[in-house]
Amino acid sequence: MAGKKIIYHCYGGAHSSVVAAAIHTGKLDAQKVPAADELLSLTLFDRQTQAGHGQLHFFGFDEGNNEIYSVGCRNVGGMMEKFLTEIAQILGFAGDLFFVDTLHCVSVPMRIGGYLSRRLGLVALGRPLVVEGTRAAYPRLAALVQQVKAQVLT
Amino acid sequence: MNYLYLGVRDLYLPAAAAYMHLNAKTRPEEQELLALPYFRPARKADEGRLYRFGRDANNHTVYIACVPDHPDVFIKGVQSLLTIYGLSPSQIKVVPCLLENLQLAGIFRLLTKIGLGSIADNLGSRVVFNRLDDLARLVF
Repeated sequence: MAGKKIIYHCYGGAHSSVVAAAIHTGKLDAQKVPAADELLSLTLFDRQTQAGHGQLHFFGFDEGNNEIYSVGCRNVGGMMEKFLTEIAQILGFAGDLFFVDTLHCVSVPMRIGGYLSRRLGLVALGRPLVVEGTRAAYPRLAALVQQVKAQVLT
Repeated sequence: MNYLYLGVRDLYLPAAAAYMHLNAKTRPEEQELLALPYFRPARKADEGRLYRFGRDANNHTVYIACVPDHPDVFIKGVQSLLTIYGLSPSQIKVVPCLLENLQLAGIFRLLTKIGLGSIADNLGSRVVFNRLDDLARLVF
C-alpha cells in the first residue's frame, strides 16, 4: 500500500526542514547531534535559493513506505498546507499529504546565519553560525520527527 | 485539465477571468460581473481555498483562489505536486491574476468592514475593466 507524502516545511527550505527530513529518512542519527561536515554533506543544507521556494524535494522513504519531502514556503507555510491539500483533493489524492512545520524548532543563530548566508549571500559569515544553530536546535528537530513518526506510523 | 485563476488577497480579478473563460467573453458587462458568486473582496478565510467556478465548453473545470502573498511559491508548489504524482504539468494550469497595487485589496476589505460592500464591488469592477485587456490575454 502506498504511504503518505510527509512534507517538512520551513521559511527557506535550506536548514530546519532539510535536517528534519534527513532525520526522518535515517540519513542523520536522531540520537546524536551531527558534526558540521555531516550537516554540510546534505545536498540541500544551506544551499537552497529563493528560486527554489515552493519546490518539493524528495528525500526518500521511511520504514512505513511514506515519501519524505522538504520545501521552503517563506512566510506562507500554513497557507501552502491548506492550498496544496485542496489541490491534492481535486486531483483525487485527498488525505495523502501530511505537512509538518519545522519553523518553531529554529534557533536565533539559525535565523541570523540563514539570513546572512541565503538572503545576503554572505556564506562565509552565515554558514558557521547556521551550522552551530542547527546543532543547538537538533534535539528539538529530532523530537519533532519522533512525534511525526509516532503519529504517521501507528 | 483544470484551470486555476489565482489572485493575491483579491477575488475580483480571478472571478472576472474565470467568468470570461467560461463564457468565452472578452468584454463582460458590469452587471454580469456584479452578479458573480465570488465577485467580492477576499476575506482572510478565503486565502488558500479553492472555489469551483464551473466547467468550460471543453469540459475543463475552472477554479479561482486567492493567496496572501508570494504567488510564485504557490505556483511552484502546484507544479511540483503534479510532478510527484506523476501527472502532466498541464493537468492544472495556474493563471496568476494579480492586482497592480496590492493596497487596493486592503481598501476593498476596509470598505466591506465599514458596511460599504457595494462601493467595494463597484471599485472592484472598475479595477477589472481597467485590466480587461490583460485578463483577456491571460485567458485566451
